Amino acid sequence: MSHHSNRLDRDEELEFFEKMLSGGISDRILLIHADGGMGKSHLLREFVQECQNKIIHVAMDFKSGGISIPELLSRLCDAIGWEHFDNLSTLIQQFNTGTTINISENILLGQNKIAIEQALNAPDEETREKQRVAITDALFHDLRAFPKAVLIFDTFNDCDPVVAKWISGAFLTRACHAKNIIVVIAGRIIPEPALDWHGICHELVLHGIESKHFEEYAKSKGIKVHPERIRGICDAFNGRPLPILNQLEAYNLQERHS
Amino acid sequence: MSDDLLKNLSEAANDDEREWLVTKDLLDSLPENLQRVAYAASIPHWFDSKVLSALCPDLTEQIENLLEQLSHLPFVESFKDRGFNIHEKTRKLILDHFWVEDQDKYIAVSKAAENYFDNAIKASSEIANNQIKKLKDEIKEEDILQQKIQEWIDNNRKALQGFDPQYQIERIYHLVIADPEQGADAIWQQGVEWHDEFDYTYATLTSFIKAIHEHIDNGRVKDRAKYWVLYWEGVVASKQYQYLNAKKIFNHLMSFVSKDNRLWAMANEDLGDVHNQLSELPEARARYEEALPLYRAIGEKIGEANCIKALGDVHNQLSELPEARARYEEALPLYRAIGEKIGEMYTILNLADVASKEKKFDLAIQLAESTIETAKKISPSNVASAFNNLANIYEKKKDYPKAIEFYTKAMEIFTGSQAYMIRNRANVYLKMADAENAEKDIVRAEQIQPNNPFLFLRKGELANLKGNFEEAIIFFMKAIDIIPRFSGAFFGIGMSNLRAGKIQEAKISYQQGLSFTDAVDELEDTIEELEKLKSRQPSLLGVDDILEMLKTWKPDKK
Repeated sequence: MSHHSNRLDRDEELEFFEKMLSGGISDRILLIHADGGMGKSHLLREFVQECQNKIIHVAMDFKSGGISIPELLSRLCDAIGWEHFDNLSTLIQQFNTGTTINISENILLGQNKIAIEQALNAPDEETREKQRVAITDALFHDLRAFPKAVLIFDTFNDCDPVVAKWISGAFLTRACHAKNIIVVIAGRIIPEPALDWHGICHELVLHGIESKHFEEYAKSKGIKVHPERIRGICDAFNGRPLPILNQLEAYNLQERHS
Repeated sequence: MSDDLLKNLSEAANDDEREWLVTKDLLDSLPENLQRVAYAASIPHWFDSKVLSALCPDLTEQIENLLEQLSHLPFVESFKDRGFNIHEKTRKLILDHFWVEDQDKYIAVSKAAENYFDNAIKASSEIANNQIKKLKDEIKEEDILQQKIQEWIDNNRKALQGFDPQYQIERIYHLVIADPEQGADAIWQQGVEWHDEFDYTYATLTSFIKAIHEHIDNGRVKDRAKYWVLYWEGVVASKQYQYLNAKKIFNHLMSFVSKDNRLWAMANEDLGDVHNQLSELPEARARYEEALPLYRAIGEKIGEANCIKALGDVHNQLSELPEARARYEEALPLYRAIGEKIGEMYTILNLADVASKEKKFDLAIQLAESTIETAKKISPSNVASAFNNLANIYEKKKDYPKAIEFYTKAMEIFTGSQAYMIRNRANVYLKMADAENAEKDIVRAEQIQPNNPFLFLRKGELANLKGNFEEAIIFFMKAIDIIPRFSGAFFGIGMSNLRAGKIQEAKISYQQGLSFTDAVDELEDTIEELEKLKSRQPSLLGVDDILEMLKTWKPDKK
């Protein structure tokens, strides 16, 4: 949805997120499943707004592509501040003993990302997996120091397969044991709840929005279109916001230019 | 349109057709210039005013205003640090229709996009080179230089965005449309650079493949460019140990016909490696033999040398030692001629392995020792590898103290991943019946790699040494769970059963082990272990029968 569009009805979902933040419910992992154009990214932006200035939070969108585990960790720590990640930094240094990084040959990748990449570098998959687990442990050890922290991941369907496996495995298992951590993951595909964290996980499917909310939206934007017509369009798309908003915007422009 | 909309929506054949009706209505309702910008903005995965200016140069003066209007449309989303993007679903619909209805325009916009991203990459590179040169001239102390460069990078992220791999992906994504042949070459070259990432996750290469697949899946990219994408998909699957999937992808690639010798050579070689990993040695040999003349035809010496060495490896695994040696001796001058030190070193180590199997231990040691100086010029892990191979020869020579000395030396030189060296040393301690030291090494190796099949093999052997036969079988079974054709683990179970007095079960296990054995020399250790057992416990039943079975066994040459 447009970053400027007026809010459509997602009160129920927002209320659920607020309860998670306040500890009113025991669920701490929220998986939002929705087809394209259902308004999940818009909803996540509202979640971020809700956290703004109150709770430590990091939002990441996998649609930009190429986000590896080092990239994800580096962005997460950059956003919160590396000074809060003593355990993680120490472990990375330990793994990197004896290696040097030539920055002039690694422009923009960032020193921290290269350091994590090198820390996860091992010639065999088992050792790499072991190092990934150790690094995940250190990350959550550091994250536990915050009263509360919210991690939001959007467009999980575009997530790199290795990263998706790591998030669904080591990452969410540790998030489950860190009682101050709230994780929200949204996408057309979401992680399959695992035995160790499904107990604190809530799966939310975004459904279509009722016609009356589009009618209110049109009214607020001054779009003159008969409610019957909006209902017809809404029915045709089962309340999926993107095509309905596209059509309302078309009416808006046609009216302005007529 | 609006009057008929509901009727058209109800008559639409599917969701995509329905959605296109409203998207098209909105696009048609836009003022002319905004409509042009909307179509152009759908071509890249993200855009800002600079990208839009490049795509619609005649609208440069109004572009900020047009971008502002565009960003208010429902199908436009913000894109962190890069501006905006058209919603994935809307973008796909627009591109599908754009391609069918005005392919020339689509190609022209793609050309402009490729040009924009190419220039952005070059600009970032130029800025960085100039600044680094300046700093290098000013600062001679390496530590301070690195620190200053980092500070400068941190403060100039925007100007350096062309270094972001996503810019290169975006450039090639447009190039394959603007110039499919150049695009195919770019996919090959970029894949070569990205298939060897630090953390072995191949996230950038996977992202690259996914981007180009968007064109392939919609029929916009065919032939060479498509084949190169398939090739890299196979490489990623293989690197991630998904050998069956990799085999499927490479075989699918082989079902096409291409005149690109380089692609066909690389695909055959990689498929050969996959067959090798799956212990499908005749199939591996066939692929390497197919790749070899193709590499020769394009004059690619490294590929030629690698294929010859790989053929040597197949012969070596089948204990066809003269053929293996001939292949290694053929590969060696090729590696030397092109200065490929790693290839040279491991070919010599393989020659040493052949000599060791032929019991020419002095020659084997001399060859392995000769690689140490070369290894020092490469990296500590390669020096450790040379010492590990030297230790392997002493182990075969049954000079166990020397073997332990060199395994220990290898571990001291390279403190990184060394689980395999520790397991090798544990193997020697087990042969010396030194349960205490073997156990220490096994515990250490387990801390580094807890689920390795060879770790379970050694744990089983240790349990056998201690007389804990039931426990031993559990460990051997764990090894077989990971490698179903693990002959050594079946022989281990055979030994457990034999010593526990279960003669029939023991014979079955040894027979199973033999069914997964490729060459006679693989049985040497097993035969030796049984002979030692016979001399210690002459009255133990079943040993002679099993020894006879092993000594008369011949490989199935099919």
